[in-house]
Amino acid sequence: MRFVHAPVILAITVVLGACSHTTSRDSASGSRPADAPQPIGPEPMRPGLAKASNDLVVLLPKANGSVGAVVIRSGSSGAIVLDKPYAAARIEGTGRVQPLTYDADLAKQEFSAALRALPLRPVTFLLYFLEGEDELTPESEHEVERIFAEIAARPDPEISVIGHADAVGTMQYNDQLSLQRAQRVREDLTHRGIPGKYIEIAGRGKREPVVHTAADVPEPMNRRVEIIVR
Amino acid sequence: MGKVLILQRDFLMFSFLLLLCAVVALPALAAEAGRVKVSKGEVQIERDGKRLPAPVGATIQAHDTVKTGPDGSVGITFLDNSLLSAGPNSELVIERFVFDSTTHKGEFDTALKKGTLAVVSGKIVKQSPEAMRVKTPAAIMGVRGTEFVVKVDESATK
Repeated sequence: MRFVHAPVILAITVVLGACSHTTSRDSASGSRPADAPQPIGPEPMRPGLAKASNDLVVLLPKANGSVGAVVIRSGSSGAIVLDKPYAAARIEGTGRVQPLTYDADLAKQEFSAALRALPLRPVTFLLYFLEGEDELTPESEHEVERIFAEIAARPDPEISVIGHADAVGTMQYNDQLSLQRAQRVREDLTHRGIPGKYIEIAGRGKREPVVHTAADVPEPMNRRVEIIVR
Repeated sequence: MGKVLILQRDFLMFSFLLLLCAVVALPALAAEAGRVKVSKGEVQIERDGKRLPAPVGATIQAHDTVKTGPDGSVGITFLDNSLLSAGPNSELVIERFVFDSTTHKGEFDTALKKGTLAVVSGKIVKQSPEAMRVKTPAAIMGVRGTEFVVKVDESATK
């Protein structure tokens, strides 16, 4: 009997050992006592008082001027839709929703700290290539400078460079070509001083054409690299 | 006969422990949901009961709580291009973030416990309106592709 158990117990020990190793390594990297910040503020203690709150929601126009919508669901009020610029709602702790229109300046002032902290919007650029090559078209060559400026303006930029090809050639050839194009753009950016660690690249071959064509039809719009800057 | 039974039992036990190990190790493998892009004043991330600093470049995961002090503000860009930013004295919980970068399907739940929040929706909402939700103590906001601000005034009592 004991002999039967021995290997199992050994295995369990190994597994548990691996477990505790994983978790301890996790906590080691997680808590850095030296620079661990102090907790922010004590939790407000209000014994005997139910947590009541007075929430406010204000819909803003988008940067391009259009407006989306927010649906508010609270208690028994059903759903209330805000879909006009500065349409707002106050939601009482009881769950009652009171619609109102907010003043644009007041909203900007009241939420100024949060709005100032909004990260820059992610942007997408497209660069086009000469047929069968990893050489940019002359127009796209100029565009690289603008992309560089956009990246340089961002703290901790995350850059995805995704290469594409048109339908001329085999799947394998285009996978290779699209990746080569992405690599070429990465080189352009690193030569301008953007650290390579911020840039991830991929080649999607001819799988994702912008303009759908028959096989082996050259299409300049599909010979492209997409650059997403976040 | 008895030996075979014991072996079976041990095997089950072993499998169970293996599973347990996987569950315990899971938080360590939690995926990145977003990144801190703006960090001013006092900002911290609470993860698995630990407090971490939140400088620009810090990773945000599902289940994190982000807190700002009286002089703090923080801006986060998520993988689906959603943007969230919080003003001073705020507490924001990232309850759930699931995003498929191919189909753009996902689920994004956050809760503003207190303070101020600005929201710019991203690809998840473009693909499925209201798949992004922002909760406050009194309500749930379903997001249909938009920008909005939310304030939770905890001190107000009714």
